[in-house]
Amino acid sequence: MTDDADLRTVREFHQDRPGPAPASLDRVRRRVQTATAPNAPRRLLPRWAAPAATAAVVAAVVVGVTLLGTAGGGTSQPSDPASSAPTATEDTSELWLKYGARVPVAAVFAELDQVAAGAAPAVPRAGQLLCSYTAVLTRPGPSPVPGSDPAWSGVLARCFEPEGLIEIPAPVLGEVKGQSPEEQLAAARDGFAAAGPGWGYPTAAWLATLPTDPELLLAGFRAGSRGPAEVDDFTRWQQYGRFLTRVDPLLPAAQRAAFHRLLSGLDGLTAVEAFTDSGKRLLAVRLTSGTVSDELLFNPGTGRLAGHVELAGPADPAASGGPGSSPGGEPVPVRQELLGYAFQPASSWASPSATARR
Amino acid sequence: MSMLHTMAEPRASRSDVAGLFDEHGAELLRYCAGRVGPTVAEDVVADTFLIAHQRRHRLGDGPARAWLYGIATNLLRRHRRSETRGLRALARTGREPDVSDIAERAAARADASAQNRRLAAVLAALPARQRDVLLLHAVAELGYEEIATTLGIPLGSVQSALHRARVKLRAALATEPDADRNAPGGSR
Repeated sequence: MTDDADLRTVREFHQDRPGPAPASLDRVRRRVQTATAPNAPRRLLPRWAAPAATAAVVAAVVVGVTLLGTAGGGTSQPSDPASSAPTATEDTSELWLKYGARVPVAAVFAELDQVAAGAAPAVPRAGQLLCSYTAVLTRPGPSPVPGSDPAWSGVLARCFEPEGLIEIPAPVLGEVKGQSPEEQLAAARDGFAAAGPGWGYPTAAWLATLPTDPELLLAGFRAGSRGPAEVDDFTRWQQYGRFLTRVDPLLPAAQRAAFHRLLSGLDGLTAVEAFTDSGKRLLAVRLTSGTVSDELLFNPGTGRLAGHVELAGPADPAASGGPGSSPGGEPVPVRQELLGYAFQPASSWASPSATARR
Repeated sequence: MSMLHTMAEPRASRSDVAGLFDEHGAELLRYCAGRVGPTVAEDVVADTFLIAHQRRHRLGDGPARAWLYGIATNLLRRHRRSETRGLRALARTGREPDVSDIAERAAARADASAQNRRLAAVLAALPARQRDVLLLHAVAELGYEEIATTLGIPLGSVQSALHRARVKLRAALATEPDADRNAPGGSR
């Protein structure tokens, strides 16, 4: 009987806990309706990625999984004349981050470090892959050139072996440079076996040995990076961002804090609050070089990396009307990536190579 | 080596999921908010209905409510750590950790009673399955067989998990309030 005193107490305890906000139900309903609308193009995960559906679906919800047309600022494609859906611009405009108040950069990293300090990195079980699901939005910049990338949104899924972060090629991609997926994976494993853990093949154990002194960490990073050791701050910022994106779930708090100190030492950073369409607060730290800006998004709830935004502009302030234009001459986001990670069994990636014997 | 994945066209109209949402959305949102906080609950419930939409051919004529709870419970497992952290924080401080974006009415009840703090400590210490089973039974009021079906575990496992959870629960509820003062941290 669920009316027993102990069960009733649990029920009352649960009812006393914070409930959903007043607009919460409508917000969720709108998200579900948008993602399941009959006229929304279906570009969700394939069956072979279904076991990792949570992260992917979160991403799918965020981006609305809609492939947008290129012309007319991203209106519905001509092949769908009966569509009564809003224009693609309306479909996705809400999905781009909304920026809020400026925040001191030092305060951002202090907040992130404080939150991350209490969390241990996730530990994959034997046989699990580390999979990333990236919800991507793109749109033409303020001055799109003919033939530039179309505006679209979708979910990018990639899976890696946690040891060495070796990417498991998706079988549908077929051959690359004459190599089958199995051959590509075997080659990568051979590379890892030859080189061992390091900047090229990070492992959780190796990451935990990285120096927490920023100077030492920078020296190691320089030595481990391809290309020249001395690069401009913008290039270094992008390098840090790519590396953090790759290792984020495996990075211990102390090493994460050291990377944050490296990031915060670059000149010209600015930071603002940013909000997802569901109201989730992120912290966006931006570095600009000429007409290009690069932004890393952090989750203040976990201290971890949450995404990446590329911005273009400012263009000619007199120009207006394009989807990426900004009357104030501010750079506008042209590519937005929100990250999600999950550990999942290798068998669920359904790639013959993922479970291939070493 | 990235790729944009494509999925097969769903077979039925979206009225299925809209109807399910109208019928069960609010209840599920409340349940999930009570477990992982109102912010994460929105994601979990949205995912629940999207997965339900994608897999609706599996529902058949079965009970949709229990099925939805099963999907939500699976999704909640991904937030196990934050759920446990929240319960521990409540047990330790008497304050709910995630009250930042809820209505002001929640603030008035943010200071939990001593009994709630004990309950939070017990729930935080329960193994995942026992917590799932206990909450599905006590809060969602699912029967043993429904829980077994939704979690995909044997009926006997449901009964034993529930029994063990209730033994701990009753022991905690029988604790004198004064005893809490010396053990505010809850179980780790």
